Amino acid sequence: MTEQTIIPNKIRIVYGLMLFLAMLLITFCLRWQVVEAGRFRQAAATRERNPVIHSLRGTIYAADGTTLAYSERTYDVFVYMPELDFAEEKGLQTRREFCTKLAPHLDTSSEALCEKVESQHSEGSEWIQVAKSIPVTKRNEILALRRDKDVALEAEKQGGLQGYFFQATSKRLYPEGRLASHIIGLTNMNEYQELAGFGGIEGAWDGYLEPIAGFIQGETDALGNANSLATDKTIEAKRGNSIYLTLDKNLQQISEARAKWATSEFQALSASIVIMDPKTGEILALANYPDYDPNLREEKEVEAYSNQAITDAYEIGSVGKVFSLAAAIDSGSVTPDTVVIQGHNGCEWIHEDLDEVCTHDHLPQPPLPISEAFALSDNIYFLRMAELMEREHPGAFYDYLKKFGIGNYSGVDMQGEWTGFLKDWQQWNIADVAAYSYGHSYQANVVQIASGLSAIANNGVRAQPHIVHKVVDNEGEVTEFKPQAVAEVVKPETTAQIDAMMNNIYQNNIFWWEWYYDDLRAYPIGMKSGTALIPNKNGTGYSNEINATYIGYDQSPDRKFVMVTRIEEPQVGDLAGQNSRILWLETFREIKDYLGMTPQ
Amino acid sequence: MDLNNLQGKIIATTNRHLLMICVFLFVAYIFAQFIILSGIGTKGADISAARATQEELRLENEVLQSEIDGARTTANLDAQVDQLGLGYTPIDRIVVDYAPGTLLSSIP
Repeated sequence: MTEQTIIPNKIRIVYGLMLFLAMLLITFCLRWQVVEAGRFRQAAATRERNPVIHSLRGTIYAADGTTLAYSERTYDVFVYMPELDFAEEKGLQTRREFCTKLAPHLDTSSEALCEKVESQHSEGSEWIQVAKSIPVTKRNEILALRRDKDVALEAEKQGGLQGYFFQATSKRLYPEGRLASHIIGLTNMNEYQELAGFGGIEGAWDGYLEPIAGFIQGETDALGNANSLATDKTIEAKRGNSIYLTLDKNLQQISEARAKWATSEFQALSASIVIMDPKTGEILALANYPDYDPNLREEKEVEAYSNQAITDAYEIGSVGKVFSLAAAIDSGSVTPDTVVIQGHNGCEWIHEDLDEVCTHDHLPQPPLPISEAFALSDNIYFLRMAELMEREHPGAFYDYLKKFGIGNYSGVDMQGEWTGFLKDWQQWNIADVAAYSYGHSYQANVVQIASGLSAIANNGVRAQPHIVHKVVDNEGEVTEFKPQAVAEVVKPETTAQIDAMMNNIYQNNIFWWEWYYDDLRAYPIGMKSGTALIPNKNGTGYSNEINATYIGYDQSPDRKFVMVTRIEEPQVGDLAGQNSRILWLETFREIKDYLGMTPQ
Repeated sequence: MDLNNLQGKIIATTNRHLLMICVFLFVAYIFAQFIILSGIGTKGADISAARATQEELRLENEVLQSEIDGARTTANLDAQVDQLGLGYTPIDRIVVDYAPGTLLSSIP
């Protein structure tokens, strides 16, 4: 064998060895990546961890920055049977040790805990809920539990108890209890087992209040530690936005106390009070009784949960005469001194197919200027005034009612508003003109009435009623909602004339024997009453029950407030002047100093 | 013949060099993997610990925020007034300003 033969042989051996190694490599690669790919893919999937990062629902604050609703982190505790069994098999802990150590933190006994775990596991459950909504402090106590087996080890080497898991939940708290419960609303689990808002601000602003969950995308190794070579991504959770209301808690407390008092005093079904700033449309107070405590949910009647100031649209009665008169004056059909008819007999027929229209007292009246008819709340004078307006300016009355907010949703930013129907002008008949003139046949809720009245108080401009002042997101960015003019309803000259007539009503509505209201006479207030029969629920016609409404507003240059009171089905007093007026005056007495009103 | 011998020697030398380079690269690759894996790949526990700390801080932040919100209530303010022995002074007139962050003030 020559040298030339030996060298190629060595090379052949090396090549052969390398070829063998390469074939071996290819075979194993084929085995791991093709034949057993499924098993490894499954194993790899178990290493992927995408834990969700939870956050909390946003907070609701009153105008003074105090908290009306907020959330706290809580946890549900689950026992995971496979991990519990694994720990026992490996001799890390015993079942008795697990139950004995965990039970005191769950406010149960060791035997009860073990029994629950055993019985549910025997039914086939792997995840067993053993506690609900525990606070963070209890969670931390449970996390600090150590195994008996490791007691001899140094603290940092001791292993924690195994077999339980926490699921993050939250608890919604309303620290002011019943205060402003209808405004705030409440939260509950929806059909997707997620916390959602219902009613009020919680419902209307649910999208802003709800948190946005984050998650961590990554892989773990066999020990459960993060795989540092794998790509991972963290998307942080975002807490829900915070909402600041225009609500004044002091005015709210006074209003709620008065609404409750009125319901009892006048033996009524319910009472509502709305106080609004006419210049901005901000709702300063909105009270209903009956009410509820959102922390307790103890009330069983549906009515207690209903924000009747916005959900109940009803025939408003003679308070609507304010809108009719303003429309007639502003359209030029009448002035306060116009005498539209030469008196009446207390009742009048307007059409042979219709019942006669009567005043509340059925008393005949001589020829009167419309300003005096307004003071007497005379239905006949008003229907004739409306007929005159329709003849001279067809469709104008409809337009004015629409601009006052009648027949449209007010758009107030709370969930649950309902409004009434205003017939399209082209379909009006003589009965509609008559009824609309004295505030019947169309329906409005208390906030709508306050909004319409605010146009009179605010030089003819109606501002958008709202209760949310600003929204602050989790990064501190503020979105403030500025006052918005909805409509220029009437001219300032018209409101000045209405001011004088409503002030005249106020002065004459504090009677000479009501010495306890003497101090209130000096305040610049405009006022009007409204009493309307409630339609029968099951048929045509009207029942004997009434809705008693009183509206009034500050006529000082500051124009600090408008206030509307409504009492539903009072059993004391047949007219609003005998119940709702008292509620209005009593509430005004309590809020006038707080609002800084000065007598003239 | 001499030329063939020379060629053969050159090829043999080149092959030996290439083989040595391959072996060297292979060994270097193995060592590099060891270094990288031991440097970065063993940090999994540290990363998990950092994430756990992050989670605890996040939770602590939530707890503190909830405590702050819980403290901003009338009941808590009343309790603070009682605890500090303060009293409410009678106020004749209050001017209410609804601008954000504005406090109520009394006007004599």
